[in-house]
Amino acid sequence: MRNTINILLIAAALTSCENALELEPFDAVSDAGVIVNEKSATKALNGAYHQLTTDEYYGGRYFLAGAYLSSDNVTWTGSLNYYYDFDIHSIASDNQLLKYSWNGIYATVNQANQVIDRTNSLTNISEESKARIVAEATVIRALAFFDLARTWGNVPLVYEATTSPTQFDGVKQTAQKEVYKAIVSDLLSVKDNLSETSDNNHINQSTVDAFLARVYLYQEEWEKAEASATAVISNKNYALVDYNTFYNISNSKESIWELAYSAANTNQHSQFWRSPSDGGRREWAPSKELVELLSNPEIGGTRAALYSDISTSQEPDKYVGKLYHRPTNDDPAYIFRLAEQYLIRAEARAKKASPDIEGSLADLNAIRARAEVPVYTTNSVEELISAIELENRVEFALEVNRWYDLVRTGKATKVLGIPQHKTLFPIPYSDISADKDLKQNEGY
Amino acid sequence: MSISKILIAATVWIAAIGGAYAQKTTLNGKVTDGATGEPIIGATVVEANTVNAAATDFDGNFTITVKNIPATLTVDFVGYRHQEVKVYDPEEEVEIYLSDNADLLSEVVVTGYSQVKRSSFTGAVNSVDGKDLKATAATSFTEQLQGQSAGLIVTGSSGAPGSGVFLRLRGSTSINAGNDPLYIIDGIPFNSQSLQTISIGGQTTNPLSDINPNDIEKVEILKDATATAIYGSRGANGVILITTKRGEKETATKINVTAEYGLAKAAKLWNLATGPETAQIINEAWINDGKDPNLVPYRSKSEGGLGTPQEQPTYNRIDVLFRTAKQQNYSASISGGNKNTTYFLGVDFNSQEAIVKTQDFQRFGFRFNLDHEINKYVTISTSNALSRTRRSLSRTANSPKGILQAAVHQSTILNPFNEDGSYARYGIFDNIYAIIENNNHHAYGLRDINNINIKFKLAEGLSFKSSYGIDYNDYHEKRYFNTELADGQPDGSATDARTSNYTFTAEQLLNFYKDFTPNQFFSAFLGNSVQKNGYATTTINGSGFPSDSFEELGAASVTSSSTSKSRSSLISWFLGLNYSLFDRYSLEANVRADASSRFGSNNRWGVFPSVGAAWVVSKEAFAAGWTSINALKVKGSIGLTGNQSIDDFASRGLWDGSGVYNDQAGLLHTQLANDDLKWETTRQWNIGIETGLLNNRLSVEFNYYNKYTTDLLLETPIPAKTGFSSIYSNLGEISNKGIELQISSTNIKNEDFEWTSSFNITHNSNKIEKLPVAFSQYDRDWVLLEEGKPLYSFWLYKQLRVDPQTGDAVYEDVNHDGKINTADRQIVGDAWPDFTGGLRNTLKYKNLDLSFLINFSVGNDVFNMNRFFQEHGGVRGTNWGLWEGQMDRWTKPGDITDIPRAKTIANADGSQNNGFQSSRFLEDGSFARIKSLSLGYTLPKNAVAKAGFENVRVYFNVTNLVTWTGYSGADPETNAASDYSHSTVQGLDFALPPQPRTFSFGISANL
Repeated sequence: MRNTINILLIAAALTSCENALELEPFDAVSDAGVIVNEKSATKALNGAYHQLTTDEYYGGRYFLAGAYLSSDNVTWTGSLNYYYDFDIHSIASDNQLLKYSWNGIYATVNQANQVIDRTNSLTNISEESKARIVAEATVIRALAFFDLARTWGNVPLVYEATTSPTQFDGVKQTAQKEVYKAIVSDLLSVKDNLSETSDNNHINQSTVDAFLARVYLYQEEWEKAEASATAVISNKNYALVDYNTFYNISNSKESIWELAYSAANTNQHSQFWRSPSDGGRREWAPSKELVELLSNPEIGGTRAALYSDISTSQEPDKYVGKLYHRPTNDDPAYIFRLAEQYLIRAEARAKKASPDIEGSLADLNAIRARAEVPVYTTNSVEELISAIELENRVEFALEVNRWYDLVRTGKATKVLGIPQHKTLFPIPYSDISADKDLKQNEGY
Repeated sequence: MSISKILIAATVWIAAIGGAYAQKTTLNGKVTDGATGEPIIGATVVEANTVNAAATDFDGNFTITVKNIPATLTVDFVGYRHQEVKVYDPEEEVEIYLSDNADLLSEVVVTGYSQVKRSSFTGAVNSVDGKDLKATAATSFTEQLQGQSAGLIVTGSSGAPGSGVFLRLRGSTSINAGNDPLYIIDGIPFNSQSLQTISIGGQTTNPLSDINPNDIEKVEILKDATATAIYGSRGANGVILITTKRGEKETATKINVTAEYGLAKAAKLWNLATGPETAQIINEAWINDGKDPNLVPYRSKSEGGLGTPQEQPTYNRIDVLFRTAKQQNYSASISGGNKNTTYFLGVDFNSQEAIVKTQDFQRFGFRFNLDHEINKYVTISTSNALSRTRRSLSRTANSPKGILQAAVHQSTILNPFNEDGSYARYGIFDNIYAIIENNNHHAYGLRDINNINIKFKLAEGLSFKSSYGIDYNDYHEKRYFNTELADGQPDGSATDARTSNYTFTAEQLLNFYKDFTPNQFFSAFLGNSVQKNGYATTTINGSGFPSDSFEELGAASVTSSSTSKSRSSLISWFLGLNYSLFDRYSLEANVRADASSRFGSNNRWGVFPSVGAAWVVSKEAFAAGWTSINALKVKGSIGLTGNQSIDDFASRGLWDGSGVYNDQAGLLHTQLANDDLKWETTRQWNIGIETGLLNNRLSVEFNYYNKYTTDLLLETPIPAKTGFSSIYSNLGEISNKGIELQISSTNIKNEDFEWTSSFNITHNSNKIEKLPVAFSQYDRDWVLLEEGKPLYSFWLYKQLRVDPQTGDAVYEDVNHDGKINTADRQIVGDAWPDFTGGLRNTLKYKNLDLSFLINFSVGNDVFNMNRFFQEHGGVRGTNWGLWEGQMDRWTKPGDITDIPRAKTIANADGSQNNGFQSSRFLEDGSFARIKSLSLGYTLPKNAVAKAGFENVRVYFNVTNLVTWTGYSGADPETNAASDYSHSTVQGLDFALPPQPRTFSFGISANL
């Protein structure tokens, strides 16, 4: 019997020890001690940029698609009904695009908050680096807040790194206007900590100016919008380039901030635009109405390159959008480009208390000239505003601007024939169930 | 007169007929139970190789007239071991003792670690003999188990050979922590998770296809708490024990060769609308959308249209894809043994084409089992299997560039070729001809299972066993899209993925028993087990090949790669006690403690006890006079089992390196920590009755079980503002309650003719008892997990009718707000069957044998996604084809139909006629099918003996001969979401090949 016990104990000792249970993952690292110095803080900041590039967000497949399909520029031509629902403004709160976009944007917020909190607590880093990293993360967070607010209206804002699932219980939605104010204040507080210049893929002080110009425009703070846009336009690092150039090459001088993609982090966006013969699924395409505008030399000019016509006798009016077109899946995603600053300034100059028609026309015509369309002139502020609106529509034909411009200026109901409540998307059903603090938007 | 007496009388009568022509030597004898000494009534006594037969009477006595002296008598009785005796002296009374070993209640039941008498066993276990698996053409025993055991639900998911199978034992106890039973092959846990990493649209692989079904001696299905709790950590979903064949001691070398060839074809496919019909619907949708009726797309060409509907052509792509598939299976084995050593050596080659072109499955398998007694005290055993699988794969289910969508979902109106003869592509689909001609996707699996154990006999009744085993699995996938394929644009693209998984197990087991004859039996065991599991995968993607002649990634101009690696470990201690008194009262108690690396150090250990009791009523004194009830046992058990089948590091807060930006490394916060994460626990109790009736010709087992799972390891939805949509936490409760009935009977048994039947039926009722937040699953949220409802519940808009006046669909407005929106979605049905079961009949007449198995499933709902997509009423434009059923749509006031008029715009209440998550696509998927039918003929012994054979059987098998169902799709037994996370979506019929009907012919010879 004693032998038996000995054998058992020896065998057990050979094969069993608590150490075998203390395993660390190979593919990931545990939470504690992940950001310990400047280098790791920078890597985590890259992670925040990465969050912007995902499918859910600026990778286009979800967030961007919802916005441009809602406009009259892009129409659904594919098979996935949850996209179609945006095209026909019949969005139910269980539409999966909403869930993915919403969750993806809040994941970006958390990543930015993690970088901010954890970098702030570092002691082995220069104050300058610390401030810059925190500032870049703050701008990324502000962009996320901005996209949430302009899409869904009143949204919850969180400013701390998440450590527990119940940490933000009780945090309710902030009114859209207050969100814009908070963004401005965040941007102003960190602007000076940023580099003055950088490559087009990272945030610098001009990025913040461009961002501020846009937020002020949404707030209808015309003078401020004009000033911020001017700060960018006068920066010689940026220039309007040939229209075809800005999206055919990466990092043209037109880009104030574009998100970079590569084989290591691809952009699936173009697959949804490309035609089946190019290996895409052509889930959506430029609308017939847009094509008529782009193909008009008086309106579209060189921007006609944004589509190609693949109609056949069997399938008339069949177009393919060309903005996102690379089979290599490395099309950049454009966050701010210089043309927008011109048109923001044009609009601000036209709409401010004492309109500056001449200055506004100059900005408008800078964009028109670049697209090789004839110079536009008018003496009427109203006509000018309409012209700027149309210019925005064709200049950003396949970007999200059209939808948000229609909503921002209150024209969506008339132009698209939708009730007011549909100018905001419903908050995803999944989060309404999971988050007791959330209130669904009116009408859904 | 009781039925048993009639049966006995009939048997005696038949025996008497047999004896009428015999010679005159008469033998008298008695058959008794070797263990109890009690007489056996109704046993058949036959003189070998003659027609002389007799049956025993109420005192076990028989009289038989025999031809030869010495006479060889064979004695058989249901539940007892076959016995042969030689009688030299006709004067002497022959005493024959049947071994109690095979007595229904004395059969030895394996419960993993201990061996106890069936009479003292308190659990619920079903056993399926290896030979009952063979008649079904399949690549793995899992499909073959369908319909064969109470409590077991098996559903095929695709008609492609070697693809995944949905298997549940007594329901589903978990949401996110795995519901697959634990598979143990010759004592070694077997990884049943598919290693497939390249998604092919939902179809996945079945790792159990790595095991050659011909090697299987028996499959035991452990269901209740006492049977499974000893597997503690992984027992919550039941345990399936597979025992492979071994040699027998002191037997001459046996060689078996089996060859089988078969042809398979779809029994039913889909009917699509023709070109003209499609054009008509598109026109109708145009008009119903309020567009100008003079400008419908399909109007005469002279008016600028695409031609009138009648002018449209029809192209059939389905017939291009489906084929008559060839299947071959060859296997050989050699087994035998001497006094100290036994061996079994088996090889097999299995090749099965799918009924769709582009897919097939091949396996080459090898097995070697050996047992050797070194001396009186030490025995060493080893079991080894090596198999190589090769699959040709292509995308199916949810993949528009896959074969099924290209063939079935594409509109029949579209010409597959351009005018210049090149492949035409439409919308999201690829060209079916292009795929069939250029598909290049192969997967190579390697499986190695080795087990060695050494057993020491330390004293009488005391033994120690030390086992070591490894299950190694490697899966290598290669896929290449050349430039003829949509995904190969512009210059080809390829993926090469290699995945491996290993499980190492070391187990020490001390076993003790003491037989205090005659009245008490005691057994106990104590063990320790350590298990380590590792997983690694490497994927390389490349594109930009110089030409279609290059397909290796070395030639790609752009490549990217990713790797992943993980591991886990489990340490366990277990103890079991079994005590029985007078062979009538038994008590069993087990406890297992498991520690898993997947949980934080505070909650690492889980303790899983169980107790059971059984009472053999029929052995009581008062039962002595029972005539029609031969055996009666009442049993009950209760216990806990655990589940830890979650991601290896699910409890940790994690950051990984996926946050790459601009080719710079990046850290990304991917998971929120939950240090409190602990074991998911299932409490199960079971009560059951086992009886043997009519001289044990009829045996009935009935069980009721009740399982209740708490602390569900749930990916709980959390507020999105945290940056995470879910966190693993112990939340929610699920119950499963069910009844199982298993009946087997020997209807007729005599010298020439034998007819046996077995029948089983199971009802399981599954319910999510507690769930704080309801949440949906899969694209379009087909499935909702909600408190009070079962798993696999479909969340839809309930279509009430089609308004006969307007032709628009009317949906139930649940909240009566006049609008149809998400708030009006409701659970309409679920994929659970109300009943499943099977009926097997086996008939033997002289050298002929016939068996057939009917399996059935009643009350399971299937969501017909093909219809959802193809009864689209114009919503999906001209590229998507239409079902023939679309033509039953509403067309004019007064039409009564459930298919609304063709229209693409929303209705006034916000709902949509078509393309909506409507309950009209949810159908009753009940079915019954003749799963297998096997007709065999054993050649006369003397004929084959001349050729040197001991035994030759030729046979003809049919799988899925007939299916009875009201389901409108090709096959109700399907699921397009088999690769969906945690298999939380079932019953989704979406672009998968149906289960084929297979006819095969085979020959099996023993040398």
